[in-house]
Amino acid sequence: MSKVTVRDLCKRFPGTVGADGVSFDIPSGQFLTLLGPSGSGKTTTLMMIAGFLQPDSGVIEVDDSNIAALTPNKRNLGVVFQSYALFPHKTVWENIAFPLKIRKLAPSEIDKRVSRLLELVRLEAFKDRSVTTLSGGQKQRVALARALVFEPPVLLMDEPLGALDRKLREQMQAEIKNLQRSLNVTAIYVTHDQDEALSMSDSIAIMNEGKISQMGSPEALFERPNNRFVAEFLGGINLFPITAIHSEGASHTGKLAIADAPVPCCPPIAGMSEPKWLGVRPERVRIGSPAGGHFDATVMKRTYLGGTMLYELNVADFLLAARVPTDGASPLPEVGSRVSVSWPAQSAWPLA
Amino acid sequence: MRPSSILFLVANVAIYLFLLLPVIIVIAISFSGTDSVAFPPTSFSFRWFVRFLGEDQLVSALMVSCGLAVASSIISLILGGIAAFAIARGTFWGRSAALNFLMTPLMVPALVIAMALLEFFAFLGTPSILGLLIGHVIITLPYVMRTMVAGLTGADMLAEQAAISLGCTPLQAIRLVTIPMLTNSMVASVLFSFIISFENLPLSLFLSDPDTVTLPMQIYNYIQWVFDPTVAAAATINFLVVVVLVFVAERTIGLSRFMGVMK
Repeated sequence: MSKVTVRDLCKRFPGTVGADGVSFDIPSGQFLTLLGPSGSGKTTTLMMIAGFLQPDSGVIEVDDSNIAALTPNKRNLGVVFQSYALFPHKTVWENIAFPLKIRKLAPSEIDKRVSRLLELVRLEAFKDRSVTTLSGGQKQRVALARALVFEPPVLLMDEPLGALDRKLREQMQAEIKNLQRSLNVTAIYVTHDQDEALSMSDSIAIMNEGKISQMGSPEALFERPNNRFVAEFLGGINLFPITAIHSEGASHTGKLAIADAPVPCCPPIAGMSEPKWLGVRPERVRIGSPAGGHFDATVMKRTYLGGTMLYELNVADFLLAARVPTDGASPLPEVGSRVSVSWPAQSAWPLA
Repeated sequence: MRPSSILFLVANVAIYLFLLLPVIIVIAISFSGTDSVAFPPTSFSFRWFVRFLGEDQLVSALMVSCGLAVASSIISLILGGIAAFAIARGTFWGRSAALNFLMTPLMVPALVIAMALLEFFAFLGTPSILGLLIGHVIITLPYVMRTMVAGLTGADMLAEQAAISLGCTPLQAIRLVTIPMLTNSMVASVLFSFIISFENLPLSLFLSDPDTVTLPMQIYNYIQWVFDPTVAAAATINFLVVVVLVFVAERTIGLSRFMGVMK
């Protein structure tokens, strides 16, 4: 377990930005996710930390020593790839023992450590099987065990669940998280799946065009994104165009382009450029009887999604989404009816 | 059974008969007990195989063919393997041009290659056996290249990167992971090269001297003077060698992979 510091990591590729000044700190034993669309620089960043890509500039420190100049085999980091990258000519046991044999450990020690990892990933019964006979989830568990058996200070994972189906992914998310916690290894995880990032991470760095757009705890990012990219990437959001923000003491109001009355919102973030939108998550939009909220709207469409009803509302030809719990406590108006729309002030974020 | 599937079955049987009948007839004649080449044979014997073994020229031709096939397939594997590694992994300019160039022996008729080599080796004064060996390496190289490049560019090659992340030096990774993973491709390369070399007639027609006559060449010579079932026995032995190799290939690496090379 070690802390990781990355400073101003840059990598340019011909024609595209790879990473453009990426910096972050991960405290010992924490789980950081690099989240972003493809081409945002998240895998580039991870591969530079692993040592398979040479950064143009920047510092990569593990426990205060710079590893940026080391070859990947000298970095002693665990790496898990999306395509498993197992050794098909070896058994489960041989795959996991491989890094220990390279390190020339005593056979009894190898046996002890491999058995422990096999137990942790629940593959004891498969130890003599060829890895080519395993299912996707089992393969990824072998890959995890192999990357952890030599007790690396840091575990790097590049979309490790990308090849698995949805149900298995959810199960594996929990399993990876448990392994990481029980072995107390610092983890850097790359994904484009926001649910995966939210459920697994201690902190998330959202990447866009080679830069970290915002970094923080899953809750902080979901509940207060500080720019439009983060707001849109992490869950659905309504973006209301605004013409101005008025501040009076602790209360702030936004002037919407689509309604006359000013609506409550949270304060703009210090130093941000002139806000152009108010962002409100559909989950935070409340609907009620007409004239009881910030403004009125017409129900255009509603879709039953099990736990919630998704509404599409029209106000002055602007369409907004609202998710209303189907718990019986909230009214569920029919298509065509007039409703009022409101939200708590802290759920409306001025965004640039 | 539906009429369409009956038609399919009939067509299949017809195609197999068309392809195999000549071979079946030759094999049947090689076990004939009579002195003349006649089908169907009226009696059974091994006498033509015994006769074959007594014909020094045929036996020595079989030896030449085997030796040539073994040597050329090993040399092809080494040269082709190294070239395939450079082409599949390298980033230098002109990689696909190099691959296409090494594949050209597939497109040029073997007779043309043989003729060109004859002129060239006559000019250099190259001994016949060396000339034959070089010629056989040239014609087997495309098969090695195809198989090895396909093996090397397979998705699993990320395993080499994984090995490095687990502490291997790049050379250790190649020795401990890449080469064992390529075993199937190497077996396929050698078997294919062997068969291609073993069956080749045109190169021998141009490049053989009296000491380096290959089996297909000797069969060809033989039937110009004598026409008895000995030649059928020789053909059966030739056929048997190829069948055994294909069978080994099927058992060790699967015929589907083997056939993939031909695509």
